[in-house]
Amino acid sequence: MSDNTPADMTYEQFEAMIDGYIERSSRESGEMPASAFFALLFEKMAARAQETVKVHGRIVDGQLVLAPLPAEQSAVQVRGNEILVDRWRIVVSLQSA
Amino acid sequence: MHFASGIVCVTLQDSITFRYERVPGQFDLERGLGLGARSKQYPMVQIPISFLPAHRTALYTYMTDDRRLTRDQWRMLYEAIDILDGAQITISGQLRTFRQIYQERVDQVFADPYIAQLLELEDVPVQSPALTATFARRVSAALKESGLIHREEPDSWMLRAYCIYWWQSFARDYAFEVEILRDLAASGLSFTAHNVRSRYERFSPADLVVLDLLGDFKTSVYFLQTETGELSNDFYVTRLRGAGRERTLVVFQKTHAWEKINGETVDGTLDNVLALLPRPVRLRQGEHELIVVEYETWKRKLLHIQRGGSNE
Repeated sequence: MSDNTPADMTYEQFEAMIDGYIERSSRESGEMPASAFFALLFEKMAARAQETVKVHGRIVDGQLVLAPLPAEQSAVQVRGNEILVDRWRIVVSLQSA
Repeated sequence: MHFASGIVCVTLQDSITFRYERVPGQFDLERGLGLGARSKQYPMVQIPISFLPAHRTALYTYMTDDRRLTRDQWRMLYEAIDILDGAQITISGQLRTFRQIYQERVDQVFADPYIAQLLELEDVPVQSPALTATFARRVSAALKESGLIHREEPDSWMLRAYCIYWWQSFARDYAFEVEILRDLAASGLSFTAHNVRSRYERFSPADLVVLDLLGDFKTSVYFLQTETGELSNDFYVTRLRGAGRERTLVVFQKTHAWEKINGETVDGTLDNVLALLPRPVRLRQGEHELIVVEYETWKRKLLHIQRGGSNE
């Protein structure tokens, strides 16, 4: 690939980049530096712990009804038996034991 | 907003959608912007607005020379792929995400044949690079012939980069997994592993069970791309670069898993963890702790316990 920035890249340069990547990544293990790997892993673990949201539910007429969450947890929305997070819609169903 | 003699509506959602309506008898907006011919011939690609130039740079730098990536750029790389998961392409009126395209046109077509041929190799470390390259070229050719990529539509190039990134991550990851599984079996260790031929089992969270501990094999890049931070398994086998070596096989595990194996540890940092090996290294960040050991050390300790030895 030339020194062109991605925005300037021509289609031919893009093709060459993809072809080069295929050859190189097939041949080399391409592993991450240990320091970056563990730094990003610990970041993910910490972010996961900070994002714990407790959802309370009750059974109303045989249906699961989840309680609305406080406004400060607006990244997560609860509606009936659905939990909306980012682009995910999680539908919780009840099954008899 | 009004544009020339047409009306252009801009809808800001997760991505930008341009919709326009012609005003009859006035300036030909389609021809003027060149949109008419493109919308008739090419699939429309929508990249989320959260995909920044820095994401593109990180992805292209990774594909050109991953050694040039800074730690921040590694983070941007994973973000880039996460964002592109939700990028959309409209094909014959049907909206598909990049993720769906990958699943339907790459994973479902190439994964099983690749795994089957991988398992036929006698020497995976030596022979798998050629197999990986062969399949990657097939995937790349299939994408070029799919009609989804157009040279005049740079956003459509991202679909090809995205699919090739995922495919190479997948292919190298399974070559690594098969290599380790064969090595563990040859060592005489007793364990239960999932069946990599089974598409269903490939999606299981754990790859193997040993000493009642759940474990997973992942190349470092594939691991961080797919890991949510929950660490649902007890231990992970991976390869890392550093301390003057291209790759070092390590096992990192939760504290309770290490206690089952046991042994003295030294405290390490992100920057010296590989240099401290072969001594088992304890890494702490905030409330979280991991024990990192060399793969050979870990395997030897497991074998010792399974053969009736003490974990002291």
